Amino acid sequence: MRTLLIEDDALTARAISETLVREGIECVWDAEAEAGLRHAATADFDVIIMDRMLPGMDGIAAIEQLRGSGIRKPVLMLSALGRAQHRVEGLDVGADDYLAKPFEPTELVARVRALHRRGAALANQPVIVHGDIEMHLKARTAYRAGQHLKLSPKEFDVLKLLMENAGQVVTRQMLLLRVWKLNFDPQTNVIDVNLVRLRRKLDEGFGQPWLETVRGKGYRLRPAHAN
Amino acid sequence: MGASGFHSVAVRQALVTIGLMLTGLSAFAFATIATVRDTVQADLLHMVDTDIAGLVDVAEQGGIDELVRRIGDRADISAGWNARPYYLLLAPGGRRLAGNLPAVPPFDPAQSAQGEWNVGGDAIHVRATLLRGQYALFVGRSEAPLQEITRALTLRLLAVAALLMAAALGVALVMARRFRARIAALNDAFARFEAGDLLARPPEAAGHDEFDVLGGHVARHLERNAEFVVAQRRISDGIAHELRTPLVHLDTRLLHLIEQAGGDPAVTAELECARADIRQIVSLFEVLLDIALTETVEERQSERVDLSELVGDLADLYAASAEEAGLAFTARIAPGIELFGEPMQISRMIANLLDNALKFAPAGCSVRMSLAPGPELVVEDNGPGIREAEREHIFQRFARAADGGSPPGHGLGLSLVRVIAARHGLSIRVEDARPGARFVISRKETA
Repeated sequence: MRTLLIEDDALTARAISETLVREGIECVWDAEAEAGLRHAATADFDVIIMDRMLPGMDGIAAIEQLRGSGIRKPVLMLSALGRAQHRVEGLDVGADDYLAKPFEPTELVARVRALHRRGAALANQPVIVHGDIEMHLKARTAYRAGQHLKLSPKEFDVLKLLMENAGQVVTRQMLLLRVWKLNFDPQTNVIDVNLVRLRRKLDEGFGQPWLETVRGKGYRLRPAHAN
Repeated sequence: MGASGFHSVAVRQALVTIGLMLTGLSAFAFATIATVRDTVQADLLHMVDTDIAGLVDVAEQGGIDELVRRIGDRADISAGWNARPYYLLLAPGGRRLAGNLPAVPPFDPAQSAQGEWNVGGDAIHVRATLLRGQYALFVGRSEAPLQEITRALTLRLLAVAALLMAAALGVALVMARRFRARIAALNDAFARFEAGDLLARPPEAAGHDEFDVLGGHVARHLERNAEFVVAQRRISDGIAHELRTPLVHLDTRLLHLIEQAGGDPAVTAELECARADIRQIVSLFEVLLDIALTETVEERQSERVDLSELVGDLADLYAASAEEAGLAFTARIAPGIELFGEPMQISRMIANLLDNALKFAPAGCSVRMSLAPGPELVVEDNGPGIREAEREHIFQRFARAADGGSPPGHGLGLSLVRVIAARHGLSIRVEDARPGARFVISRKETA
């Protein structure tokens, strides 16, 4: 995977690029919006990571320009504003996701990977399969080893997000935002408790558990070959 | 919301104008009719007196017989007149000699008395006089023309009044509409601005009247307000950015140190604590900025929110946690309730209330959430509740439970709830649930 990082703060940029490289993700860094946009137009990147406030050009303006020139690659906006509004964080103008600074390195990696997956057009399939789990998106039904799983609508959405990112960590923040449309951390352990319930339905009574807690990071479905 | 009907200043003004006009017109009509009546009546009296003078002359020159003949002529000839004449000549002793009056009018000839009398439904004016000291002569004229003129005049004045009224009403309504439209344009500009449209201005002035001047003031006022809002946003964005950058650096350096510690658990734990402190600081000023920005006019992203669905989802999300904490959680949600607002903010408001309930209600208690039309959202528990003296205090910034034993938090949760509620035209209050605390979010009561 190749990412383009447009970030004016050198220290932050180095930390991000080190984190990505450590995860085996290539990262090209530009400190200025203009240079970054030129780069994005000439080379092929899987995900573009852009700071919200750049000298010379606002991140919002940069995304508008990017989309205006026909580049559809997923964009992750890094926000130092944390204003938690779609417009402010660029989602209205074409950013695909945003992350407020400071963030956990694992959060960044999870978001980048999820954006890459989405970019790879995995989401439009009518049926998603992972190991012996099968999800029929139109009928909103899920099966494990042929047995119907009685999931609540939200549990279905959680499992779908996990399936789309199977083998990768899905963070609590991602679950909150994608499933419950919440962009803040509740002070209660709501996500963990709900995931425990999902695990009961998904894994209890079956030999091998799929859903695992990645400590300090989030949740993931084990890669299929591990079973 | 615009003023309408009788609440509109313009319509009231128009009605007052029309009322004044009516009063003036009536006064004018009365004065005119009285004047005309007086003139016509004086004329009638004059005719009667002229008639009498003529007849007295006839009696002096031609004698009583001639007078009897003339009276006969006059009563006949003048029969077609409007002001019909009436005569009566009595011989000494009261014998009727001539005339068309069917009875003797009750006026004393010796005193040349005069007055109104009635002859077969015709009101007449009569004067009596004595001829040669012994003949009684009565001469009268019908007042019918007087009444006719009064009637005709009244009708014409009424017609004119009606025409004028219609015209005045028409003009008033047009004026009122124009007046209201211009006021509405100003109100609309304010309303849109308040709803978050920073570019809302009243329409450009076409002339130089009072409304145009006011419109200019409104435009300049909104312009300055918009500048303040933008400036405030720029400052708070600057604060957020400038504060975050060094904290991000600090966090990055701590992460490096953790890596270099090579897995030493004591060092790692200490450094992770330091990182948690950073996150605490960030979340604190995030909420503070959020409150500050929410309290001012801001570009809003309001949409129609299915409140029932949103509350249902949150109930679903929190139910498991409540159960985990040993609380009985129930939700009663009326379907199809909508609210115009920002879904994320509304979620945050409700989540904060639920967090609060889960945090303060001890295990074994129950937490109930309900949504009813209005909308009215209630989150209540049967825990220890909140002392009356503290009920207002808990919505203030950095408020913490007074007993000191409260779970950790930045003390801004309920303050944010109140700000978000206010922004959606809602208010929050806390009541005694006997036992427990009941938080009620409902439509702001307007006076």
